[in-house]
Amino acid sequence: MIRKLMVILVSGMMCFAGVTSALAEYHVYSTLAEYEKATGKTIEKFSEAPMLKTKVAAGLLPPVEERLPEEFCVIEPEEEIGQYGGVLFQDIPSTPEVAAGDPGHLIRLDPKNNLIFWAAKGWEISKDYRDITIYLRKGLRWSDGAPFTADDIVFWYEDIMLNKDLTPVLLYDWRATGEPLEVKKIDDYTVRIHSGVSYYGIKFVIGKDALAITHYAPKHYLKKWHIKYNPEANELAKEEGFEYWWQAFQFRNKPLRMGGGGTQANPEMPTLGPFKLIERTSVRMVLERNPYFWAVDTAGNQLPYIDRTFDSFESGEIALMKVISGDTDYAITEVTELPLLLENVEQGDYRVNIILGGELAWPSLTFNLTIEDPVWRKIFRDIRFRRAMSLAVDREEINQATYVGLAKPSQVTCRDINSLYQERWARAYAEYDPQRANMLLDEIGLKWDKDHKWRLRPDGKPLTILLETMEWNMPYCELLPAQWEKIGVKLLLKTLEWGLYVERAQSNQGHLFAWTIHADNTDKFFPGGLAIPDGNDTPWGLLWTQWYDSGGEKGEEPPDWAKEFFEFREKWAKSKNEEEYLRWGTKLYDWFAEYLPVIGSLGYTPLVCVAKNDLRNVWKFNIGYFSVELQKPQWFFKK
Amino acid sequence: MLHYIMRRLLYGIIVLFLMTIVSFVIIQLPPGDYLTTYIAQLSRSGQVVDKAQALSLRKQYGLDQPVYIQYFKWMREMLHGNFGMSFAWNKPVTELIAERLPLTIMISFLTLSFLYAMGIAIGIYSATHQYSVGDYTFTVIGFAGLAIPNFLFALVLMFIFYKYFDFNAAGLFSKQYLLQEAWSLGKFVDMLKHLLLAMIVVGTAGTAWLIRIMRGCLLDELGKQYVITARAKGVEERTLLFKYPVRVAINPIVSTIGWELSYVISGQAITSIVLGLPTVGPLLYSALLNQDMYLAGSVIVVLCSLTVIGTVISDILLAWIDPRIRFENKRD
Repeated sequence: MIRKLMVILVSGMMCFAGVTSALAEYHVYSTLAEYEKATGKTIEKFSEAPMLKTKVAAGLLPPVEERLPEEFCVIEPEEEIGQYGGVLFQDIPSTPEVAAGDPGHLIRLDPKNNLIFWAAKGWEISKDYRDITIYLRKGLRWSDGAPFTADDIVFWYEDIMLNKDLTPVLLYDWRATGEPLEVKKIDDYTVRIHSGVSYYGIKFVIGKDALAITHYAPKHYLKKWHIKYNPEANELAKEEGFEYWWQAFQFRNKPLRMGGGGTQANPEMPTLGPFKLIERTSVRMVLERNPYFWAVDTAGNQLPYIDRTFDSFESGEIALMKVISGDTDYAITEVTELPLLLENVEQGDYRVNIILGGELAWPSLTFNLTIEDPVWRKIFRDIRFRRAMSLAVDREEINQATYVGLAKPSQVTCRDINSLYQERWARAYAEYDPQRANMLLDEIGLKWDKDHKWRLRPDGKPLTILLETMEWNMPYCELLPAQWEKIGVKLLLKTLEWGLYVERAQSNQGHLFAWTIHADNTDKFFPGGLAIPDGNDTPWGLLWTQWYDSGGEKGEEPPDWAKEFFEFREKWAKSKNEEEYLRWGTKLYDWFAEYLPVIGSLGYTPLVCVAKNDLRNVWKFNIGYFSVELQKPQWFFKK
Repeated sequence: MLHYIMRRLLYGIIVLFLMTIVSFVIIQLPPGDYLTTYIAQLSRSGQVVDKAQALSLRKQYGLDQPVYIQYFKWMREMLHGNFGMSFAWNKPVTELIAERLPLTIMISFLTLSFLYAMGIAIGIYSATHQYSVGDYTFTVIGFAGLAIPNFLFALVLMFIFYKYFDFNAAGLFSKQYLLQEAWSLGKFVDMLKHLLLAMIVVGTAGTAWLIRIMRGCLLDELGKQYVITARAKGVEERTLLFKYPVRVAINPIVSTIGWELSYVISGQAITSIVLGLPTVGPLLYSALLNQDMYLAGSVIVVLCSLTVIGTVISDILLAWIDPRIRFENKRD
């Protein structure tokens, strides 16, 4: 009864969310000129938060007109103009690794995956895809007041990315064409990234990896520890307890991150984001407004509205306890907590939103195609086998059991908003058809045993597959043994802890691995859903990747159909223009849908967001929990 | 006496040295290292760490060197007071431990004093009122508290407090005091309210053995000849009780009180995790899960040293309270 009620309630909310997302707009205007052109209005007066006003009066800060850059950004709040003040108590996913903040990337994507210029003002891509020119905001400043110029980007690339001590191997996208890209300063506020050959991927280099790195670094702060600018850097490092200069440097070069690693951020390092880190202990993390943040709302109020954010690293029951008692202003939890959350809506004075997460496959199922055992090898590599296993997964049942029916059954492929996307990829072998699965397995020659309970391998041993994964994927895999029993395949589930899992995944011994495939917020650029053959998440072709990477020395030569994958992937990375990009990309995703190295189950999984009722301007339609940071500048507490 | 103390200290140092080796080895035992855990965790949240980044991270953390070199570097630095860097928190280990230490000590001290006071008092009461209703009640409560897993008990209590007393006992401070740096009466009272839960959970579990030992030893003593003689001679019951029998019965408890010194610092890890208390226990727990080896190793070394020091103190305390031990040594 409760369950029925919940499903009705939740579907009602989803409809509402769907309707509002169709109507809701998210407006960020990169410059004042853009805003004026779009709305015909202008902004002449500025105001700032009371806590900053007192500092200005005391002479500690320059007035707001001087703190904002000449070319500031204009954000139109989702609901209404906000009020200054307040401390945000938040609980954004539980592992400390994820607690973080927005460092102020150069570009970002809005909820509809459109490009927004954030810390950068704009860009221009040359028609031959050899150059991308990035325009920075005039007068932009770091959180400590120092000017942000093209020097900071050049410093990042030449002195950090290209420095062999700090970065032994350059990121793949920056050298995909065979030569590393060049970064040149044109003037203080203009930077050009140049490639020797046409490289369509040049569009993506500052968009991808945005969760992990910022594509700039505060030169004025960091140069003290860099050997190029300070010949005594090694001595300085030793004084501080390190052995080499680059260790001291890396210790300090830790910006805020929207993804993992947030607990490592350095509070002394200046940032471009709306909040700067002022305190980070192993117990809590406190961020305070950045007085030099470069965006205002449509009434000229300098953002953000909220004074401080507070994170204490709790997990599990404690975090949940705080949410239902109303002690947390914003939290993201999982669908399994929904009943408890809905029960306490009155008492805790909050509202619950269900938003679509960014998962493309949770769980994803990967068979180890380069497994050493020859019998398994033959079975796994038979395309009919993988197709049969995919057809035998009752995705709707898993959906109902673990996601309250809110996720979407889908094969592993790119996001539906991506320019490459084709519906048929998502539907490939994703329907539930155990009869057809049985037929395919019969075709391969996997006979049933005497009792017609389980099938047997060609050598007579029972067909027992071992699925290994980590603890959080287990609830989603629990229904699989019963589903696969119907086609005579015995599935055993095994939970491993981190280190052991990685070892197994890399050992080429495992049969089947389950994981989660994410799309991140830069999805428009990087379609995602491309399972890497030797990654820990989806190790379907370890030996083949070794062969390919070592030029034939190690590993094993892939069969022709598998070679296509590597060929397409390389051609796609080296695409010279949009036409090639679409062509090779399509071939790659076609290949995936055809050969199914990784089997997907459910995508677009729901996340539950809880916001106190006095916290306003909270989006109802973000995608994935990383986009939380992007909304924060407009959040405010309504008094 | 001095000879006794010197010998104890010498043994202590040797044990400590062996402990550092053992703890370092054990931390390295699980497959992989901090980096594999870190990369796996990043994958979980959707970030792909390619081989290039993994390599640079490995070099940065010095994890590309053989184990014994890592161990020697660590020991060398430790003798200079540098306990190394925590990978997960990107902070010196000494800072991390220092952040949590004052609170941990205070919490543990409060819980422990409560525990011992209650345990000994109830033990004495149980012994003197053997087989009474009170004796049975306390025993049942004690054993129930011991049998129920701490984390379960803590969760249930937390829920009961919330539901029926409208008090959210999670964490150490309520929302309004979280950002208040300065101590005030209100903040202190708030903390005690939160600690009440921890004290009940730990108290009921811990008092069981104290009560039983106290009760058992005291009963042994109270049955002896000299007690009957003293009673016959008209000594008042209370004076009689505390002058001699309790002093003897308290022997085993005092001899183990030294071990509690390390407990004071580690702070009951499981209860702390469940209740969200910021003590050293949860720090060690997450360090072990992450294979954050310098942090985990250092905390273990600190705990071991405290255990060793505590045991030495215990031995000395015992020698002081119990003259038999002093005389035993003199005979050597």
